[in-house]
Formats: sequence, structure tokens, C-alpha cells
Amino acid sequence: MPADDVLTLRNITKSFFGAQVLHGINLAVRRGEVLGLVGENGAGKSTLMNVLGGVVSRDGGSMELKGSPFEPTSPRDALKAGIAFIHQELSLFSNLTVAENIFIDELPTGPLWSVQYAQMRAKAQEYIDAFGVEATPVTKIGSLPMGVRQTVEITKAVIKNAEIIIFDEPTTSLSQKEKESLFKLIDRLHHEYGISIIYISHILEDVFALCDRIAVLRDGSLVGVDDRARLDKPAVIRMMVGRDLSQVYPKVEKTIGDVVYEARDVVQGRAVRGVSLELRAGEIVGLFGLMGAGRTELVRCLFGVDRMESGQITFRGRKLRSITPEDCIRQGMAFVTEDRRQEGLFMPKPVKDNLVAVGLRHMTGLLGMVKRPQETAEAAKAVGDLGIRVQHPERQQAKSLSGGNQQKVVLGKWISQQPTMFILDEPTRGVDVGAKHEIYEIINGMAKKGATVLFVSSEMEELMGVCDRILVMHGGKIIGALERSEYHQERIMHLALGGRGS
Amino acid sequence: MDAVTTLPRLSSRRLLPLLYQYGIYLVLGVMIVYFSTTNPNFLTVRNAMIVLQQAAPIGIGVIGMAFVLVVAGIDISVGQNMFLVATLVGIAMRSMEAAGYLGTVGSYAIIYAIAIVVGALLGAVNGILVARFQLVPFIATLATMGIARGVALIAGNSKVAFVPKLGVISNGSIGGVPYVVITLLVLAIVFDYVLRRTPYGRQVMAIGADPVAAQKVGIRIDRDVFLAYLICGALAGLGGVLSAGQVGAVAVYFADGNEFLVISAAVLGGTSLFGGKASILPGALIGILLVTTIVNGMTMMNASPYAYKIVRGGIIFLAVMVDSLNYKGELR
Amino acid sequence: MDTITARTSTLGRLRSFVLSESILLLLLLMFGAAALFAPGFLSLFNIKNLLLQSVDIMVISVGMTFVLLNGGIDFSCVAVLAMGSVFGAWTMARSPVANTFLAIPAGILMMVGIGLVVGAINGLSVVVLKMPSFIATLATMMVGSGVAVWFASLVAEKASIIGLPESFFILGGDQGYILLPVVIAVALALLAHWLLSTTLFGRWVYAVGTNPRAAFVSGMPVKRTVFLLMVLSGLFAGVQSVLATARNQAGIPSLGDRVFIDIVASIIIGGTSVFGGSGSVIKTVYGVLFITLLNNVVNLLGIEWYVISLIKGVLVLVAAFIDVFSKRVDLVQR
Repeated sequence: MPADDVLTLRNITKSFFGAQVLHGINLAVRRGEVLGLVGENGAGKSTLMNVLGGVVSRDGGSMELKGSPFEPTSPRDALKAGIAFIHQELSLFSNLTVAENIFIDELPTGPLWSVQYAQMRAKAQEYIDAFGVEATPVTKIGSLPMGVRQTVEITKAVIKNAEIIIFDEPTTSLSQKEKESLFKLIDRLHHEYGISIIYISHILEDVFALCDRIAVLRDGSLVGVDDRARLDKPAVIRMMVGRDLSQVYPKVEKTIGDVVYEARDVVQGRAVRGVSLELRAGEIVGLFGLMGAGRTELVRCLFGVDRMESGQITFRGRKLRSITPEDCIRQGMAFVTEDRRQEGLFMPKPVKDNLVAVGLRHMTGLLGMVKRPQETAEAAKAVGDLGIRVQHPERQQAKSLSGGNQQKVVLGKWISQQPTMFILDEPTRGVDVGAKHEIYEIINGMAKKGATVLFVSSEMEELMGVCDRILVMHGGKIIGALERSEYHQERIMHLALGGRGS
Repeated sequence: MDAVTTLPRLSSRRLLPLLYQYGIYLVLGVMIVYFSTTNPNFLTVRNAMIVLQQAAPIGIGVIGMAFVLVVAGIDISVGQNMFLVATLVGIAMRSMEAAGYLGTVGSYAIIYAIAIVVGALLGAVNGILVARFQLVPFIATLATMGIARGVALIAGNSKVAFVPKLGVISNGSIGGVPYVVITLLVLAIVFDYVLRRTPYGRQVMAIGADPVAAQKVGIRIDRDVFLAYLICGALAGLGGVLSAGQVGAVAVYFADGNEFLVISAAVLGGTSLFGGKASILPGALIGILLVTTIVNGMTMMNASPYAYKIVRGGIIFLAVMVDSLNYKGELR
Repeated sequence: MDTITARTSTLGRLRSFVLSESILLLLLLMFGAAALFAPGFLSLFNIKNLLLQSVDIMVISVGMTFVLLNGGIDFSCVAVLAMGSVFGAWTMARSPVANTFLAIPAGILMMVGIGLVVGAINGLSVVVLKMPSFIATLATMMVGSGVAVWFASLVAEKASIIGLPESFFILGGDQGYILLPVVIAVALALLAHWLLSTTLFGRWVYAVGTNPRAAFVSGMPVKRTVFLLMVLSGLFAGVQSVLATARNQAGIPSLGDRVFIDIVASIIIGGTSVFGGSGSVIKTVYGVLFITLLNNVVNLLGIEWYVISLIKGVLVLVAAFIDVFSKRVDLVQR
């Protein structure tokens, strides 16, 4: 490997549950460079970094670090070899001080097994000065803002003699000022310390500002990697999305009616900053955005799972006073959450129980007793209608089903209520192609019956294939909308990335 | 969705933590004032010594419990731990007496060694069940509580054991300061040091704050949690033998319910049930002092002895309520 | 996919059955062993005793099952026993309505009412104040038992309150009404079972215990359900108080001092998971029978009463291990 390459990835492949996620990635990281890694959600960036960081094992290919083979079996291995991963969830303890956090796994001891605080503090102060951490060694992490905490985490990495530091969307919770500090720090890290940086972000302006080279991933393959000087934003966007839209999506004949759902000025913290939208009967509206855009936070507010700070919702002509899942369901709304394991399914319970979870209320008779025949019938109907592959729904646990079937169960429990408004958050995530199509057909079927669908997804292609309109979110706001006739991959991505510039 | 999500503006954030941190002193102060007005004998040095003396053995248990609580665990077997230890010590003493050995310095050394070792053993069992086998701490220690009790009853034939000789230490004093109080203070200083100034102490604080992150940074969670339970057991054992000496006899209901006394005192002193926050010095001391003061004061008032249980229940309710206000987990 | 076939094949079904109904099998085994080896086991006197003793904790254990199904615990149920007994006895023997025809109904109302109130306090503490159930009920237990003992000392010279109307004692099996308490306990157990297995509320309990977040998103009233669980537990404890007071023919402030571990052991050994979401009243009933049988056999065999504490501790441990084990390996359809 060339003298100035510190890391070489050769032909890295990885599959999860039979679906290939990484297709033979060949990538080299040079010493002291800042390499930007961009791609859509699901392009494979996180997986690739997880392979590098020892979190998951690769299926094929090889890695070389500083000339020797590199095969980490755990994050600890990777760390020891000099690869530090700064995640969004920091590994810091809010009840301990900055100095203690930095040295937590190798606290210096002296007589009587005591922690050498003076020595530790002095050393910590050195690092604080070197990296511009806006805190003292004795400040408790809990009282520090996010940006400073991140700097502490970075300090930890450098101390461990990291040769490569991977940043995964580091600026999502930072203020502008904190961001600038971070960039200054990154600058010093690679110029002064010779540390290579892999910078993952969807904020192209930042990537262009920081990086020496930019690598673009798409659908698990490395589409291209080039010097920043030779690239511009449109070129990168083209690489990110330039796929042949060869997928055929099911079409359906339907009529789109009047506006039935209206949201005005929905605000929630920094995630949702004043969103307004209008949805019509029979319409399938897509909501696209990159990580941190605020889509999931928005739809959770709309359904009352999280509390919105302000905003007005009108559904079918009625202003909704209180917004809780119970109320929304009563009004005829449904919500498929992003995380089916945690919030969508009762994993250890039988499929049948899951299928009737929402509709149970309406299957009661005398004294609140559940009508079992009705329950079984409804569950069976859902299984049939949606094509859920399960032999014994009353016995088989939800967790034993494949991802696609699990998702169908989640859909099934809502569909049986015949909602007029359907909010879907990443309904085809972790679902195989065949099941995906079936889900698109289910969605189409609902729209045909006059229901309204709000379809949140990170997969631009499916939105373009299924939706009548696509709304694009960025930074907590809806930054653009496209009708079917206006669908254009690069345009959508351009909006999702902030919409400014060429 | 929530009936009550935040307290009124005034109380949140600034006032509450302050109140919680120093409120206990306020309560203690109020108690002292109240009791001294109802009985002139309350505010005397002699009475203060009595209070301290009564508090000490349990206080030693509180120190140990702090470690278990800080890793978000719990140990409800400490009461029966004390009972087991006291019973076994009683048996040992009987055989030493028969051999004419009782009364020598060596015999005392053996007695206290037994107490600590047996206590530590029970603590170790708890530690293995929780750390290695991942049992819910509450259930695991509920089981060991029953087992400890059973073993104790079998060993002692459920007869009362008289242990007057233990009183030498338990009731003795030097320069007017009871031995047990000295022991408590020394142990408090030592273990506070362990908690705040040793790597182990820092790491258990980390585990309690964020077990996932602790795992990531390479902290040996299994080992540290195991040690926490070991410490708790050993100190409970010591507290048990000292308490037995004060009571003078070990009957079937000895130390019954002490675990709740210990937990109450720990929480009152500022150790959180949810982990990551603990105070031995002065927390554990203040906590046990408050609890014992209430008992003492109410006795002096000739208050019905049952009222104290009510008041204690009320106080621990308030203490935990405040602790819980920051809890963001599930409703269980 | 292997687990599915394993579970639906005959051998797999058998294994599943054995594990989920283990308590029943254990119970039968124990019964059989007792019949063979314990002297005097099958005597009428002993069977009668057995039934009455099982009633002692049946209702209260069934009530606490609701709370365990949510992954919580209720310490205060034993304090409800004590308070109910004391206040109820006072109502029937010393209050203004004593010696009137209102005495017994008022007494029963008092006892059940106390259960309801304590349950409601617990419920509010958990749902509104967000306190973990074990500490909230611990506090109410301390306050409650303190109140019970204090009140008893106020109104009675000795530790207990006597002088209750004699007709009340039939609820305790007095005067040949042996089966009355048994019938009441069985009826309540059936009621609880009915509630949990056939009603909407029952489904909510299991759902909330399994995954409160999913339950919330699916529109189930999580807070209401948790609150009601705590109230039910208190209520059942209150009813048990009625039965216990009748059996003891006095208001006893120390009632329930020793039975907490029996109650918890019955539920856990019965097979209800401490993590919530799985278990049933039937299992608790078997668990209660098992514990009662255990107590009985130990007694008949002349083993010292305190050995049982050890045995129970070990059994709880074993049950806890099985609970954790089956959660991880997932052999049983829970």
C-alpha cells in the first residue's frame, strides 16, 4: 500500500439477513487527510464504519491498517489499533467530571489506591488547553452543553493515540458557534497531529469546507471518490442519487379529493420549527429528508406520541383539541412508527394479539368481554388480506416473523380499523423487495378507498414511485414540495441538503 | 398526554435540587428543635451519644447499601444478613465459652471476623446472582433473604441466643465516645474515600450513570457490581454483630425489617435509587441520624412507638418522590 | 425459523407445555409425594386445614398478580391486611355501629374501602408521581402498618381487638361453614381470571406489561391501566383482610407480618414473570396451593418450621432463574 495510506479497505462486503448491504468497497484513507463520506440514508455509510470500528464483522474483503492486516473483533480492538469513532451518543458520564471522564478507564493511581487527582487535573488541563475545551477539569459533564461534551469525547480519542477518527453526523446537535469550534479542532487534528479524519455528514457545505477528498456511497457501493477540488455540489448529488429508476412501482386508479388534514405551524424544540402542510383524501404524500431533518419528530407530534409545543391540527373540518394516540385513533388516524420492535409490536406475543391491538376496543361485548370469534376472524382476515406468512397466528410470536412480515402485522393492526388518515414512518425499512411491493400495493389500496397517506421515507426512489406529491424537509422545516410531474432525483436531494447554492 | 409533566416553573430546576440537597438538614434541624421543646432531656450530650450509639450499627449497613444503590441495584437481604451473622456469632460464642476461650482478645477478633466474612459471603452470593446471572436485584435478594433467614433459624434452632459479652464492644466507649460511633465514623471516612477517590468508586458511579457507555469504555461491570454487593454484605454483617451486642440477645425477630431502615436512610442521605448518585459522607450519616433521631425523640415524647413507623414511612415517601421526579423510565 | 417448527412439532409442543404448565405438574407431583410419604396427609382434618390455609393468601396473591403483570410489586398489601383487620374489627366491635345490624356490612365496607384507598394512593404515586412501585408501596406499607399498630394500641388493651359479632365468623369457616371462605376465595380468583383473560382490560394489562410504548401508540390507556392495577391489588388485599379477620375472630395489627414472602413466592413460583407481560391468575392459584402444600407437608413431616424459609428462598431463586432463562432463550410462548 502507498506510503501515505494509513488505512486500506479492499472489497469489503457485508450482508444482513440475506440482504447485501455493502458491495465490494475499495477505499483508501491517506495519512492526515480529511475524507468526507456522503450518501443517502441507507447507502451503507454507517455499516461500513461499523465494520471499520469493529462493531460488526465483515463478510468478505480485507482491511489493512498502517501496512498490517486489520481484523477487529470488537470496538475495543479497533480502539486499541487506533481507530476512534465519535458517535452521536457520546460515551460520557454526566455525574463525573471532565478529567474523570477522560481518564475513566485508566485512572492514575497512587498510594492507598487513590486517584491522583492533582496529576490527572494537570494532564486534563493540558488537553483542555490544547483542544480548546470550554470547561475546567473539575466541571461535571452534566452541566456542559453538547458541543463541549463532544470536544471532551474527541479529546478522549486523541489521547488514546487515535490514528483515524470517524465522525458520524457530528453537527446535528451543535450551535453554529460550536460547529465552528469543531471545525477548527478538526483542522488542528489533522494538520498538527497528523490524524486522519473520516467525516460523515449530509451537510454538503460542511463536507466541502472541511474535506480534502470526498467519497460517495450509493446503495452499498462506492460510486466515486475524488479530490474536493475536482468536485462540486451538483456532481456529488449526481453521484449520490444517479441510479437508474428501473424499479416498477404498482400504479392505481384513484381520485384525489379535498383537503382533509391540515397542520399549521407545528413546533417542537429544535427538531420541528414551524411546519405546515395540507393533505387530501386519496392522496399519498411523501415526506423525504436526511437524518436530522425532523421528519420522525414531526409525525410523532402529529399523532401525539410526543408532545408538540405549539401547532394547530384540523382533521376533517374539526380542530383537534387534544392530541394523543387515543384521540387520533378515535378520529380515524393511524400511525406506523419508525421502530417496529420498540413501539410497533409486542414481540413476545402471538401475531394474533398484535393484529388486534388497536381494534380490540371495538370487539367487546357484554361487560367488556372480548369477542373471541370476532378477534380470530379479524386477525385471520388481516393475515389473508396482507399476505402475512404465518402458520399459526394465535401461537407464533411476532418476533419469529421476518422483517417484512412483521411490518405487515403492524400495518394489519391499523388497516383493520379502516383509518381515513395513515401516517407511515419508514414502513419498508428492513423489508425484502417482495414484501416491499406488497406494502406499496397495500398503500395504494388504502388511497384508492379514499384514505390519506403521509409516507415518511429515506428512500427517494420508492417515494417517487408511489407518491402523488413529495414534501422535502430540512432543518425542521418543509423546504420544498414537488408534484409527480416535477420529480427529479437531484432536485429532491438538492432540497434535502438545504436547497441553497447551485 | 401526561397529567403532570412539569412542576410549576418556580420549583423546577433551580429550587428543587437545592431543596433536595439541603432539605434534609432542614428537616433534621426542625426535628431537633421540636423534640427539644417537648423534652428538656433531648438536647443533652448524653442523649446525643445515645442517639449516635443506636444509629451506628445500622449506619454501617447504610454505607454498604450506598454502593449497591449507586449501581442502580438493591439489597433487601441485609436485615436477614444481620440476623444470620448474629446467630452464627452467638453459636460461636457458646462454643468458645464452653472451651473457656471467650473473653480473650483473640475470641473477639474471631467473632468480628466471622461477622464480616459471613456477611461478605452472603453479599458475594447476591453479587453473583445479579452481576453474573442477571437476575433482577430485588428478586435475587428477596430469595437470599429467605435463604439467610432459613439457615439462621436452622443453625440457631430458632432459640433466643443471649450474647451479653458482645456488649463489651457494642456498649463500650472510650473517652465518652462509644466504640460503635468511632467505628461508624472510621468506616464512613474509609468508604467515602473509596467512593470518591479511588478508580473503583469512580467506575461504579459511571456504571450507575450509564451502563451502556460504561461497557463501551471498557469498565468491568460484572466485577464492579459484584464487589458492590460484597461490600454491602460485609458491612451489613458487621452492623449486625454490633447491633446484637446492643440488644443483648438474638431472638427470632432480630434485625427484622432493618433493610428498609437502611434503604430509607441511604435515600434520605442523598443516594438515588436509580443509580449514579451517592453520598456516604455526610449523606449516609445524616440519613441514619435523622431516622434514629426520630425514633429517639418520639420515645422521649412518650409518643406511641408505632407512630414512628408512620412518620418514617412518610419521610421516605417524600424522599423517594423527589428522587423520582427526575425518573424518565417506564411506569412500573 | 427453527423455533417455529420446534414449537409446533409434537415434541416441541410437549416441551412447551411442560415448561409453561410446570407449576401444575409440580403441584401434582408434590401432592402425590405428600399422599405417599406424609403421615396423615389424606385425612379429612388435614385436607380441611389445607383448604383453609390456602385461602389465607389466595385472594391477596391473586390481587398482587395484577401488579406483577406490569413488572411491579405491591408491598403494601400486607399492610392493608393489618389496617383492614384493625379498623374493620373496630367498626364491628367498638364503633358507634357496633352491635347493630349495620356492624358487619359496615365492617366489611371499611376493610375493603381501606384496600381501595391504599391501592389508589399507590396508583397515584406510580402514575402521577412516577415513583417505582416497589418504593411507593414500600412507603405505604410502612405508614400503613404503623397506623394499624398505633390504632390498635389506642382502642385495645391487649394487642388485638376482640368482641366481633359471632355471625361474622362464618366468613372464616366457623360453625361448619367450612367451605364459605373457600367458595369466596375461589369466586374471587375466578373473577380475577375472568377479568384478565376475557375482558378488554385484561388485554390492556398484558399489553402494557409487555411493551408500554407500543401499547401507548396503539391507543391503549396506559396510565389508567397501571392505576387500576394498583387499585385492584389493594382491593383484593382488602377482601383478604375480611377473610383473615373472620378466621382469626379478631382484629390483629400484626396480620400479614410473615406472609409477604409466601405471597411473592406463590406468584413467582406459579410462573408469572417479574418482568411483566406474562403470567396468569390460574398460575398464581397453583402457586398458592403449592406453597400451602409445602407448608403443610413440612409440618406433617415434623420438619422444623424454619427450614421452610430456606426452601422458599431456594424455590424463589429457581423460579427467578427460569424466568430469566426463558426470557432469553424463549422456549415458552409467553
